[in-house]
Amino acid sequence: MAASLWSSQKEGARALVRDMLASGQEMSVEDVVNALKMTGVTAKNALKAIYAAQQSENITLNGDYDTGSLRRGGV
Amino acid sequence: MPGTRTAPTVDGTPPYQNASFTFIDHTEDVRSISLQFPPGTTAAQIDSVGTALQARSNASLFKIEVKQIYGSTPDVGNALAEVHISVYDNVVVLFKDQLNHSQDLFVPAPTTALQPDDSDTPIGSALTAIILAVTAGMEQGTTDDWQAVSARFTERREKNQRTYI
Repeated sequence: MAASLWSSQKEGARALVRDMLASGQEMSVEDVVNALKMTGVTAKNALKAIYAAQQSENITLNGDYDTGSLRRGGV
Repeated sequence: MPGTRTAPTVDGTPPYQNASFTFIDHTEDVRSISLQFPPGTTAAQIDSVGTALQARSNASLFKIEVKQIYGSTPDVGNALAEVHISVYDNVVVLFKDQLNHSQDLFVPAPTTALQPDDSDTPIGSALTAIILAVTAGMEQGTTDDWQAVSARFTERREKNQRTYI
C-alpha cells in the first residue's frame, strides 16, 4: 500500500519548523503555518508538523493554535 | 474552566491491568468476563487463564482483551455543574485517513469554549489540540494521514421516570 503524500512530507515539515525557530526565537503559529504552506503542505498538516516539533524539538506553544506563538527553548 | 483530571499519567507503568475474556455459546449469545490483574502480571500468565477457562467451558473463547488501566477513584467533585453537564451530551469528531478508514471521537460534556450555549454547532478551532494529539497517535504504518473531517454536537435524548397524577 502506497504511503500518503503527507507521509513523505512529514519529516521535512517538522525539520522546517525546527529550523525556523532559532534558540530563544518566537514566531506566531500563523506565520509558521504560512511558511509551511509555501512548501506545499496543507494548513491542517502544517499544524501536525508544529505538533510533532513540539514533541521532539523543545518547542513550546504559548497560547492556542489560533492566535498563539511558538518558541524554541522553553516559554 | 474545564473539570479536573484525576486519571494517572499514561507512562507505561499502569497501576493495574484488566483482562476481558469473551465467549460465544452455541446459541450465539456472547458474554465477556473480566479480571483485574496487578501491573506485573505477564502476557503469558494472562494467556494461561484463557487456556484454563476454555478447558472448562462449552462456549468458545474467541477474544481476549488486555487493557492497561490508569485509574483513580471517580469523584463528582472534580466535575463541573456547567452548561453541558452530562457526559452523554457530546461533540462527535469524525476522522478519516487516506484509505478512507473512519473513526469517531467523542468529547463528553463539552465546555462552552468548545460548544457555546447559544449555538447548535461546535467551534472547530477549539478542537485543534485534541485533533493534533489524536492524529499524531493514529498515524502509524500505512494509515498515515488522518484528518478531522467534521464535528457535531449531539445531546442525550433522555426519558426520565414518569410521575403519575
